[in-house]
Amino acid sequence: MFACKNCGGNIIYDIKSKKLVCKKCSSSFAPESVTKENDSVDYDYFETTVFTCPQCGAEIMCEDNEASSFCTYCASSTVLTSRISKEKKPDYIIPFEKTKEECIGEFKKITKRAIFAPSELKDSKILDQFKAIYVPYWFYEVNQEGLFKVSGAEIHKTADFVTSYYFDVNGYIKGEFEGICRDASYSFSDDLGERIAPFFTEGKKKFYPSYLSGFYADISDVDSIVYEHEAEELANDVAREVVSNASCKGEYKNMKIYLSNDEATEQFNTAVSAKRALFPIWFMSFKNEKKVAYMTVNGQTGKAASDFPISKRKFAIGILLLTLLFLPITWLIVSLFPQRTAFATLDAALLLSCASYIIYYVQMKILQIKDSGSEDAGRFYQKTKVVYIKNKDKNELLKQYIRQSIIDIVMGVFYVGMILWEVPFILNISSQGKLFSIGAMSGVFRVFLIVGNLILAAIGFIRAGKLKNSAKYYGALLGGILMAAVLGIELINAQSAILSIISSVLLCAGAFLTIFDLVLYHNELTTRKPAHLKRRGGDAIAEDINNFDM
Amino acid sequence: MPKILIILICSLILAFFAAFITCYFLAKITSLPGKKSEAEEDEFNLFGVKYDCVAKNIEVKNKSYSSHERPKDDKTRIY
Repeated sequence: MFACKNCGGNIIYDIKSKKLVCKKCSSSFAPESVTKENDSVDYDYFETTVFTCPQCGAEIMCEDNEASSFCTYCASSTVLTSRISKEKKPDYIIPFEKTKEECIGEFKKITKRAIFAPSELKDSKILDQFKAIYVPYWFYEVNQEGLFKVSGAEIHKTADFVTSYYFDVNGYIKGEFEGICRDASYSFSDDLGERIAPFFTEGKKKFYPSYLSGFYADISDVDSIVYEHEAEELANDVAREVVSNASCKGEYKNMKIYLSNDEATEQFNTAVSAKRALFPIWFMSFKNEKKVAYMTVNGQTGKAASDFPISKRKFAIGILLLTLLFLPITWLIVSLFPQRTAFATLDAALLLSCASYIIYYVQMKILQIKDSGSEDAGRFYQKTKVVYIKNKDKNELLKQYIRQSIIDIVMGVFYVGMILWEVPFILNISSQGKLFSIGAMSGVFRVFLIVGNLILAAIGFIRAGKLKNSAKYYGALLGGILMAAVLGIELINAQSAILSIISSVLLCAGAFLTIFDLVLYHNELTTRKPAHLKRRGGDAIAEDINNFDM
Repeated sequence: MPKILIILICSLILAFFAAFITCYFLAKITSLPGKKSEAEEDEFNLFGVKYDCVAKNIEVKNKSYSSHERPKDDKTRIY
């Protein structure tokens, strides 16, 4: 606690006046003028109270005892244990500029659009749980200076000859970069961090512990090495562009500079250094079943971002309302085919089911990438102790994309082939010359569509099997079984109207189960187990690590 | 089975089908607010970064050149 020099009362940082204000006598002080006794003794560390949650193990710094009854990370009402700790002093801090009211206002704007988000998230009492947290960031500075020698080439092509000219480009470079920032908190995902970015580092101040009075602060637990490569690459890209612009002009305007990132680091003497910083974020965790979803608002700019779980109740109501809305339209469409109603419905159901399985297949691929966690460099490093380096080579990225998309290409060719096969039947060119007669889909096309859907369901289900916590979901498997039943009906008796209606119902049920799986997976990914479990001591560590998949 | 009942069942099946697909898309689109646009994503790296980078005393020297018949497969090869 920071004490008022005039009356000894508790002073806290006031966002609006940007000063420390005494609750008792309303005196105000500049943050840099307020220190605790021990602060001036140790320049690298400062003394603070660290609260630990017995439920999830989260550790958070706070100067106020208010933190002792509620865990910000796992949203549990519990008694937090506290201890006085010496923490490494950050170099910079960006103080809060948005008040809680402004933050809630910004958050309400995004919840208005999230029509399927749980209703509790629009409740003022819940929104009051937003806490002001300083999240640790790494603040990278990059310096480049020295003489360089790089290679350039100019290639001229004529109809018969290729002539290549090679050059040496010498010069001197000086570059200074400041403010390349990445979050240094394991619990705070890169994705959320990037979505509330940017922070404008012009607003940074030298850190004084008094800035934390009245706020929470997370403890840095991601090594600075994790993002060093990104900072280095960014500076090298800019320097390469500068050298290129300075040399590829006049008689050398067609020359191109060839320089890899490693060569650039060597030639430009690129050196990266990291400083500690604290950035302001309004933060709230929302308990959804056993996991938590994080709601965040940038405390400097007010930009809000969150991963909202889909409320199953609202999803069901949405389906009901839309079914009632679509009913007159589908009634009208079905009435257009009085003689072949059941068969036309089966054809339409097959096409819709095909759309559902394509959606499932594509979404499962996206979820698989998100689920792997490889997009979050901090978590990737925590798990593997290997720095994740994004591949930026366009040719390599294209090759990688093609390698990963071979199944997509094969399935695309399969569907295009089927449609080409069916076009004469749809147009009825081969028989009575009637244009576009739905309900006259060829038997072969129906079987092809069902088989195609079965393949998509199978691939999707295999992908789902590779996801964590996937054991609970069997939508695609059940959908596949129902699809196989429809295939059996089609092969045994394709001419029965009643069986066609039953087939349509089975297709509808199968596709619904499959899509509902996607909703469940979405909720799985938008919420997370509290990320601090590894900080707990004793037997709990072993137990938690066994249960905890990144 | 009466015709009207068949039409009702068939309409319901298709309406339900269209409803849950639409609902999924609506839920998906509205549940991830704050997503970066592509333009923002490109800018993100240099956004908020203060930098100053200059190259001076540039000197370009001819090193070598090669000329060869253009390959039949029209691919550029550098030797």
